[in-house]
Amino acid sequence: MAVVLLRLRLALQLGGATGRGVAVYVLSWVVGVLMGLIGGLLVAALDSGVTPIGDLVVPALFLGILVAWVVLPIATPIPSANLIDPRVLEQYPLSRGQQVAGLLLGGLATPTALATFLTAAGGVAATHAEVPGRIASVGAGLLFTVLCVAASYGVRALFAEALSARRGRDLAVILSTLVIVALYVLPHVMAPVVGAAEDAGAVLVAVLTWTPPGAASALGSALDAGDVVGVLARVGVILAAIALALLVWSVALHRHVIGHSARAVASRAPVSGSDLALVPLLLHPFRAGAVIGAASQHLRYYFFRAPRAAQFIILGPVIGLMFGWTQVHTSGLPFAASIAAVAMGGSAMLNLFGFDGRGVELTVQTGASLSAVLRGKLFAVTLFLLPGVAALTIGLGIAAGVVDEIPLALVGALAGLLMAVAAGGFCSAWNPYDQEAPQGDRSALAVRMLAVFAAMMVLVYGTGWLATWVQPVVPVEIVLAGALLLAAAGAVVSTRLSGALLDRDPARLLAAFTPR
Amino acid sequence: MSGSPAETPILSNVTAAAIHATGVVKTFGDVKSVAGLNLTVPEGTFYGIAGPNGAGKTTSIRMITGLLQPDAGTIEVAGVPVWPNPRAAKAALGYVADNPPLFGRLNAREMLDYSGMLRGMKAAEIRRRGDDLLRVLDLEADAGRPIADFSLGMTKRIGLAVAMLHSPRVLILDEPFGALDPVNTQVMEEMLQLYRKGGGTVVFSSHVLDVVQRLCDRVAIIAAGSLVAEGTVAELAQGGSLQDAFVHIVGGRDIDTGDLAWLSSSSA
Repeated sequence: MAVVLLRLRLALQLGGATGRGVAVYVLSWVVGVLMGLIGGLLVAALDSGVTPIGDLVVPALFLGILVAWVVLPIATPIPSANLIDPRVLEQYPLSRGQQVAGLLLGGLATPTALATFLTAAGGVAATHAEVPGRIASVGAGLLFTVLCVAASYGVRALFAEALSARRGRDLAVILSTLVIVALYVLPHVMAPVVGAAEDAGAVLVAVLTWTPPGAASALGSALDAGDVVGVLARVGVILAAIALALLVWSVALHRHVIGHSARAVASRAPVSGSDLALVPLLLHPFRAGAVIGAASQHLRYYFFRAPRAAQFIILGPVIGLMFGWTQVHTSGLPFAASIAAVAMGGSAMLNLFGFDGRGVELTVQTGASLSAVLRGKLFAVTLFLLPGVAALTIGLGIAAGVVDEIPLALVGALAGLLMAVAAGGFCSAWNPYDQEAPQGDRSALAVRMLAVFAAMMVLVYGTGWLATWVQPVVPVEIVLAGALLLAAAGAVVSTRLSGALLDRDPARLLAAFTPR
Repeated sequence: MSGSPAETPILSNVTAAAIHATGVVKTFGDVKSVAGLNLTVPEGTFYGIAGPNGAGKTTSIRMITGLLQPDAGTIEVAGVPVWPNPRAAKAALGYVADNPPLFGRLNAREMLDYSGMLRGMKAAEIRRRGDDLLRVLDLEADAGRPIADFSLGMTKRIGLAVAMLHSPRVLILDEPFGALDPVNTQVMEEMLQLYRKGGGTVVFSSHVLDVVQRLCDRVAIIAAGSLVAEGTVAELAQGGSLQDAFVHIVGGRDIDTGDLAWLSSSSA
């Protein structure tokens, strides 16, 4: 049965694919192999002792890969790989074990899993490894890949259950965000600790190699060192972790069947008087219409009806901070603020219809101007991004001790935000997709969105380079003012053209949200 | 009664058409879903569209409602051409799909607000009509619940409220009575009759032919993407039931005695 589900999964991946779709599919496997070989070579080099901290880096790398498997599908807005929907499987006479085994096998037959395996089995190519160690590395790679897939799917199923209840939704948003923040903060905190104490590195290695991913990384070397007991104990740790992940997954599926995932959400009392319940207080002064209707719906989803949309509210500033803080000391506050604004804006605006689901069809059905709807959504996002970006810029300026640069940095930040508006309007009209159940070629959708994000970054970095290059003759204030004007013009033109595109071809938008 | 697919129905004593479709064609790949549909729905009527599964009813309705562009042919709603720019025609239309597409994470009242605002209605009017619709459709107590938590019957009722909020001239419903309990079916029928008395036109597709027979003034039967019969219920039924007339027109199918012999001996 598991093999049947695996074949179904592969059929779904290839089903209906045109020549281009097949090319993307093949390319994704090629990229998976390449990434895996690069990762494997890195592990082999570290295991061969090219650097004295290899013992620390390898288990840390394995831990990082596992965390990425678990966190990224929950926290990121990028379309994730095809899954055979467990809800579809429920209608067939399959035991929970058969469902999990089938889905697990399907999860292993992906480019990402292959890349993980090739990386994890990299120890097979280490120069000083003995034959048993090399064999153990391959086995460890296999176990580690199973662990990653099982943990990822299990936690996703668990989060799916949690996300179906309001409190669980809030918790999931907070937890996944905290993990992301921790991933950013921990290395900064740990670096001085490790550097301060001579034994700290050794202690950290010892601890890491007994965690499930670290144990997988240490199997080969432990066997070569003749530590059979250590090898067996570590295999036990990995198997126990896999069993735990499968148990979590199975329990999550079981809870779904017994109806614990009922989406009971506490309701608010109806608004009295002539106020419209949909319109948030902030928008009450505006006249009711398509723009305010769309803005109100968008704000309702972001605060906090749609969990993935709500994640942006917390993750956006974190992403902005990550980009801004890495640049503020090297490139100056104005440039760092622009980068931060683009990163925040890009994360929230590149797929403005993404959380609307089947509501998109209703929007089109009403005959309203989709241009007005797009403007409403851009307006809604700008309403919370504008103060967010300003606060981040001021905070960065104070933290970096460059308070005098804050006024200029605010101009840079505004230019960055306007550029994000321009790119967001364009990308939302050109490359719309259902964020919660993407239709069509997901690889192409993700690549297009990342390409727009990369183009924004190129523009900002290009402007920064230009500012540095012309600085002897043109002050940075002039460059920033020019950038602001151009970004504003770009935002206006892009919004108009994108709106016109939507109004001229609403079928494109509809198709992106129509289940196939 | 018209028997030829290519023939546009001839209407007596009717001067205006709520819907007028001529030579409408829609093809998906190699499959011709709608093959030269001609349809005229008189204004102010209760009009039924019936047909076997896969006959092209929903595809035709989606083209009429401006959600799917035909490959050929013309469609007018209340005298307004639907294609190539369907926005003006949509203002005269209300549409309730079989499983109405709504914003699942909004509640019923917010959903009505959204629809009203997108249709350019004034806030006070949205509120007043919304209150009326929620009351009549027995959704007042659930107005604050997210639509994702609604049963299909409740979703259909809020879908109907959304479609009627702007008081359209033509209301199109795809399988409107499926999933509704008898009480709500009766309420919906009364609402639609009231709407028709006010000058509105109701068009609905249904497989439940006794409902079609009871409610409709005229019926169109579509098969293989074409109109195969059209007329008043009496003309089509010819003294019998509409169900029998339907089977006679589209062709019935009998199960041979040997078919599914294994069914009674199933060990499962």
